[in-house]
Amino acid sequence: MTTGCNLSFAGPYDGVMKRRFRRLVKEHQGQLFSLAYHLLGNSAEAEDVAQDVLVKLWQHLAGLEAERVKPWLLRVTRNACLDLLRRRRYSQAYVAETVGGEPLAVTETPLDRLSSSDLGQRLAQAIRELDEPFRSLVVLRDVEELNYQEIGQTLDLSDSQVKVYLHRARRKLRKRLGSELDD
Amino acid sequence: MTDKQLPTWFDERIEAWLDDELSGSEAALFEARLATDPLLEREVERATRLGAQLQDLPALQAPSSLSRNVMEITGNTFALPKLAFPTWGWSLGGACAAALALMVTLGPGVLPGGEPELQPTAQELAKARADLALALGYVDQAGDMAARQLGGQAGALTVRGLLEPARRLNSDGADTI
Repeated sequence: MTTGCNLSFAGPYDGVMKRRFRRLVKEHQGQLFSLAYHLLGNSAEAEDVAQDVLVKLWQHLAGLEAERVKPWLLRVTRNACLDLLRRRRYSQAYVAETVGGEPLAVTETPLDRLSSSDLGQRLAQAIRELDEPFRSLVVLRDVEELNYQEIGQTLDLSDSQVKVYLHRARRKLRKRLGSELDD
Repeated sequence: MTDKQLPTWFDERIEAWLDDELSGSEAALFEARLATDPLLEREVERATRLGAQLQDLPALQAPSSLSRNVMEITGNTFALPKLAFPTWGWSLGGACAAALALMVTLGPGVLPGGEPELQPTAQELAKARADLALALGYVDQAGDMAARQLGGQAGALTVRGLLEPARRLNSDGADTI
């Protein structure tokens, strides 16, 4: 028999979690996509990674405290990108070994096209050539504009390590670009 | 032509100086050298230009298909998000929560000692039913997990069977109480 109380089974829980999830997707999707895009240099792959990460967020939402969500998302996104880059390197090496010849180099990415100047394009390439964690540090700080604490939580580094590594990363970029940075 | 080398100590501190992160004595030493060394001055200019270029790199917007796809996948795949630690602890915790909610809802009928002195208000009853629904959600999911861990449906059926009266109460509550 029906009553005035219209609660469906698990309705309140489901509704609260769905609202929370929708809000988090709206809040973080841009940053996740942008981070993946800058690390991978490929729009379709970046969207796939961001999608997988957000689905994982839904699966783990009940166990994540609000203040841990952002660093968790960024860390999972970065790890997924690094995995993808590793697989890409292995498959390129495999192709080169079995078919012969040099592995195909990624010569241009959407980031290059977005950078209007020659220097911007060279900078994008130089960032891609940085080793980890320097590449992630530059993207998280200079592109995504995270603070030191957020970067530290994402990369599992102390604040002072973040500062030191970030300076080292920028120095590497300065050395790599050299006279191209002169007016 | 060979490029004159900048001493490493200064070269390594250019970015820190630009970020204002050198100590007082280090900053003074750096600035004294900067005033007299054109090589250091050139590197500082390069680092400044690099900083400006880095800030010009675009942070990108997600394509609209991203959230649409995510909502579609999560909406179709999961009824409830996975709990943080899917063990029997959740079953026990959920069962306790359900029992507590039941006692609040049915207190006069199930507790010894006869009629209670105070009757719950309609709001309290609605709240108790919401708590019960939440607890049942946990218990149901824990039952499913336990059944999967046991490799069959028997566990889930048992848990579901045990909870059926409570679930009926949740949907027919006002008439039964």
